[in-house]
Amino acid sequence: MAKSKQPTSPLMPQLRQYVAGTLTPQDQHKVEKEALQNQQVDDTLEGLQAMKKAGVDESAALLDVRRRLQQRISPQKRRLVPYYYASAAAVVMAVGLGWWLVQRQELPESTAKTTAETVLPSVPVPESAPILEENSPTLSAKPKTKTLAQKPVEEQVAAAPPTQEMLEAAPAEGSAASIVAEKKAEEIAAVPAQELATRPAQAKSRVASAPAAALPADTFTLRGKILDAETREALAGSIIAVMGRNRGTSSANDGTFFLRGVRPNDNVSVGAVGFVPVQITVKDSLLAPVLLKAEQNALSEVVVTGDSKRTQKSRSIQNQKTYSDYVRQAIQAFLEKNPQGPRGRVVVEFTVNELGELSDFENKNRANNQLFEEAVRILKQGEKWTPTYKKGKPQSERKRQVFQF
Amino acid sequence: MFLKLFRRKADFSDTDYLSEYRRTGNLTELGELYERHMDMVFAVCFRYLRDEDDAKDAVMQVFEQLIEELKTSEVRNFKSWLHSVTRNHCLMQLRAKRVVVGDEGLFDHEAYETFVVQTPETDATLETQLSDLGDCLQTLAVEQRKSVELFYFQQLCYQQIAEQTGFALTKVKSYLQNGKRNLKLCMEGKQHG
Repeated sequence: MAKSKQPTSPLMPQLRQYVAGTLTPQDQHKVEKEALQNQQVDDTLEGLQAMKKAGVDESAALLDVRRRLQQRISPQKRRLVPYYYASAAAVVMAVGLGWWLVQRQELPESTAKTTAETVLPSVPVPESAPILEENSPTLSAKPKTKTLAQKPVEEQVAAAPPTQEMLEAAPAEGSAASIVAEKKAEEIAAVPAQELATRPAQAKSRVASAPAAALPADTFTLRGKILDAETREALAGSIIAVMGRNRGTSSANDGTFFLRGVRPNDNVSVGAVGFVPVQITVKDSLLAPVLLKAEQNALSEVVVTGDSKRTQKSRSIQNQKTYSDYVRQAIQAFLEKNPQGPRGRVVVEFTVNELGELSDFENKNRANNQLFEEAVRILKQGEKWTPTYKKGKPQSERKRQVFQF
Repeated sequence: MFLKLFRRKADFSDTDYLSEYRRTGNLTELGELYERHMDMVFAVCFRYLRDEDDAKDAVMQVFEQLIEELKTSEVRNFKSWLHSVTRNHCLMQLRAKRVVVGDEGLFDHEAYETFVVQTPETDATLETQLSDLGDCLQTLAVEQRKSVELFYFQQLCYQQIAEQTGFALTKVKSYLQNGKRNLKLCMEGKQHG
């Protein structure tokens, strides 16, 4: 649009004076000249004059709009208030919860036990829930052999935080339970697979003997380690998958893995790139280290090919030719509609943003305004543009289009 | 606190407000900036819509438009940008209503930047342009020529021109606009052909 020279363009008070007729002829001339060159000044001036003619009280109207604007802005502030209430409520809840927990710890043993048992099944991990149910009796049964004074506290530690780690440790139910008596609950999660492996038989017998073992332990978490058969090195990133079911994982950097939701007698396949895959039928939650043999016919050299993707230039979705056809047709239509209208060349510069939208149109060759507006209209109506891609990311860019009317 | 607020308002330029708004997305920043130019926006809206309530609504709608557009687009000269946004908004509304406004030159404002603004590069081109200008002036209709001469050469205001020539005051402006346009077309024709 017209480049208004901000410092020299007349300010609102001057325009109001002009409308009121209190300017000297020289100043009137200046304002008029500016209005002829700058459409913004012209529009403002015309508006003020029209208001005077229509008898509109400008200051009252502005006051009204200002009030509406303030209303529009303020809801944002008001919307913040409920957050204060919410955070206050959260604080109250947290304090209340903490107080309740402290109270609970001080409760006599029997009540603590029942609450612990009722809390546990509500843990929102369905797979492991049955395990837990069989687990808790073991836990609560165990401390009875211990001294009474220690009991409630220990039980709290073991039962109250039924964390994720606890659940993962759960498959080694029996051994875990036996450890609970000596160690803190947090340490259960940290018990490495190897240590657990020393007691599988013990664990099994315990599970069987536990009263709640009547419930079928239908899934467990499989743990193990994948090693290279020759070098005994850990194989990171090898794939462990349950055949026929949608379960799988990959080994960590030290070759260890755990895979949840495995059923007894599942076929588990273990594979790694460059090694012969192995299938194992699982019976236990723990696997002896799986040794993978290197494939005899080692992979031949892999040739990686790729197209180098040039930075894609922004253009209309359809190719350039159909777009310029569209432009030509639009210009033709305009010329037919306005046989008396102006003619000439219009160079329009505009921004194609990341979404392919066009904005900030600029009349580069100061062409006739009517033509410029028609050109902008044609651009806006035409095909959507695709933005420029640089390194795969869309970018906004200034583009130029020439119209010959 | 109060003083600080005041100083801040006075010191902030349009671009400061804009970058602040783009950074924070805070509507109060944008609102403060908009209030500075609201009288202009309102006047422009009234110019096109010719109705107080419509103009008020339009001022609010333009603000809504700003909230979205200023988040992304970079605006160098806010005031003139705001003017064109306002104007386009009003024209769109008029087009939607299909109301014809009784103002001769509403849809063909053009040639706002004239030969007067363009400074010629060299003396030689200046001379040819001046002689072209003289020729072109002769081709204009009498009213247009007189108005242009009195306005640009003798620097008179509309009222003085109306008094001297007996033209209606409202006509003087349209004579000037049309005269300027015709002159420009004539000059361009000479330059190219």
